[in-house]
Amino acid sequence: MNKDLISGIGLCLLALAYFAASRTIAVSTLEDDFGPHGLPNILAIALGLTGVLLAVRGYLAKPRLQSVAESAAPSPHGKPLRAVGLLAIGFAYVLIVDKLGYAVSIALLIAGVAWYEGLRLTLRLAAVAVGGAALFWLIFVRLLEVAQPTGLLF
Amino acid sequence: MPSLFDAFALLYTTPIIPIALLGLTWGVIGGALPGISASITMALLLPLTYSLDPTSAIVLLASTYIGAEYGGSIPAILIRTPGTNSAAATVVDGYEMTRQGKAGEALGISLWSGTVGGLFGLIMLVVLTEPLSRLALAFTPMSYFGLGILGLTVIASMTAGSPLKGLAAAIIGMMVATVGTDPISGVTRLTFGSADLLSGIEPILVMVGLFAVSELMVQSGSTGAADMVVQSVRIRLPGLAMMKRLLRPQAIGSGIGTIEGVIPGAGGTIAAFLSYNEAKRWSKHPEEFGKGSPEGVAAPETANNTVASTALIPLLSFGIPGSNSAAVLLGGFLLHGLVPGPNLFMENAAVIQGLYVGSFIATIGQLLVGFMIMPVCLWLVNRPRPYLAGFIMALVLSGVFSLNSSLFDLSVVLVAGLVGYAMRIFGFPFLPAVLGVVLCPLVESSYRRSLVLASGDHGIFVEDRICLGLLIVAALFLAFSMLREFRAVAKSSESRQGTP
Repeated sequence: MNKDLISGIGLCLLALAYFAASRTIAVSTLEDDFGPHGLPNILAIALGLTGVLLAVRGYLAKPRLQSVAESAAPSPHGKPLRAVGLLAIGFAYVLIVDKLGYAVSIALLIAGVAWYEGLRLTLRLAAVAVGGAALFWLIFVRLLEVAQPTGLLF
Repeated sequence: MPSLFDAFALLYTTPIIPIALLGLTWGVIGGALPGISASITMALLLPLTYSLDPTSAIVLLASTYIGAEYGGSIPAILIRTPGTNSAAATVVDGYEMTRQGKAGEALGISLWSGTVGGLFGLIMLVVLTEPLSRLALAFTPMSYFGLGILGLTVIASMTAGSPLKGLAAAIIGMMVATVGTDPISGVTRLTFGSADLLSGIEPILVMVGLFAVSELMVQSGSTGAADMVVQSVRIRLPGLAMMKRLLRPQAIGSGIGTIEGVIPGAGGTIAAFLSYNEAKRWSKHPEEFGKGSPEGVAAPETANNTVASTALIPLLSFGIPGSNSAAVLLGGFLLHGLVPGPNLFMENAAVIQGLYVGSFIATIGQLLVGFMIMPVCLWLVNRPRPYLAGFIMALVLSGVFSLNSSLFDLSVVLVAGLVGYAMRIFGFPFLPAVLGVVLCPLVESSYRRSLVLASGDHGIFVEDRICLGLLIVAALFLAFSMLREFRAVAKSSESRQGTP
């Protein structure tokens, strides 16, 4: 299946899910003729139609034969699983930051991402992470006086 | 119109000079990092502007945009890797000059042409914006509804790639904007019982996620710095004879940059490539193009720096951003409760004055900052990417938390990053989605207010001449772009069937 066909089917499913969710919007005595569910309904229908058109377009377009060089070339979007792993580190930061505090968590985040991206866990990496955390703490907490999570320990 | 005297009084009554130079420096550094486009450089800075006053925040973002356009040419010239998309055309002759040992000259031409283009664009911005915004004063709620629909369809139709995908992206953006409390009845919509979603999803979170987080994900796994061979470069500005030779490509770049900047969705990349082609066509030395022609560096650099200013014309006049970077700047306006359009000129003239003066300082200042920041840029582009990824992720999450002190916001940004990554894989453009998030409240509230005014009669949209005109143009745009798309598919199918 080509990308357009997959996208079209995905959009139709998203439209259906959104439409189902919009049915749960409560009715209010204060609402106007159009109502709070008017736009969500229109958007769901419009996305569904767009999805159908995209799927039809994807179906009509014949798959292009790839040359050997093209099929061997790395994807311009990197590796999806690897990319999702990077995001998981971000979510891990969200989970730990209110427990370990900002300074420790941001040092772990810098070290974690750099390690995940291919650096070895060395003293140098640890030093850069600690230095980076100190820099961020100085900029955000001291200079800009923006509150960051304090955590249970620090 | 804000007077010139009032505008320049800001120089000594506000910290506009250091703010503009700071934004410029950040922009040059961000633009010089391959893969970090101008919009990403701005998006990274966006949460930090929250603690600034509105004028300083907008000046900081606008200066960053200007700096990033020059910064993008540095790796394009030195290591054949454009720092921003709009610097792609500079690679051709810029890198060729580096191979010939003229890296300093190429960077000097880029810097000089960027300054010329930036100044020209700024003049166009000042001259064209205010009259256009006066036109918008005649707008009724119906006209604003028509304008919102036109903005969405034009951006969806004209952004690179498939108009169908652009339209889908715009609808998805609008869907995101429907989450939260309904502005008219007060009913909660699509919050699924979450108190964090009651106030909706802020456009800034969507922008940072789509632009910055998804870019980090795309670059995940690419190890090491580029194969750097250049360790030190001294910028050399062109002499008088060279300046004279560059006048023609600079004029071409300025003209094309102005037109492309005003057209929503066109942007600096198209302007740069068009200018390169036209400069070659009108050059006295076309044979030098592709072999290290100074004109081949000057034309695209003038064009993309002109666009940095002229892309703000539709944003300031009508509140419709014409490029990703202008959309991030719109995020800066919204973050401070400012809505671009004619009312901004009347109610917050100081912000507009600040924007003009700050952009002027940044444009002139890049001649100085360009020289001073070069060693830092060289040092940074030589760092291993994993360190940069770690610091950028830390900056994104720290900055976003500082907006509302909300961990929920961090999750929203990361999810937006995932959506952005999927959009990149399947070829969906970002700009329509961002515009959908931003324009949805305007479109919905204008539509519903109009219906209340007309007691539910839809004829009011036809009776309002401006609204009718805008809706007709929107429908034509949509119809033609769909027709074009399906014709292209039919043609490619036929040609492949004919291929053995």
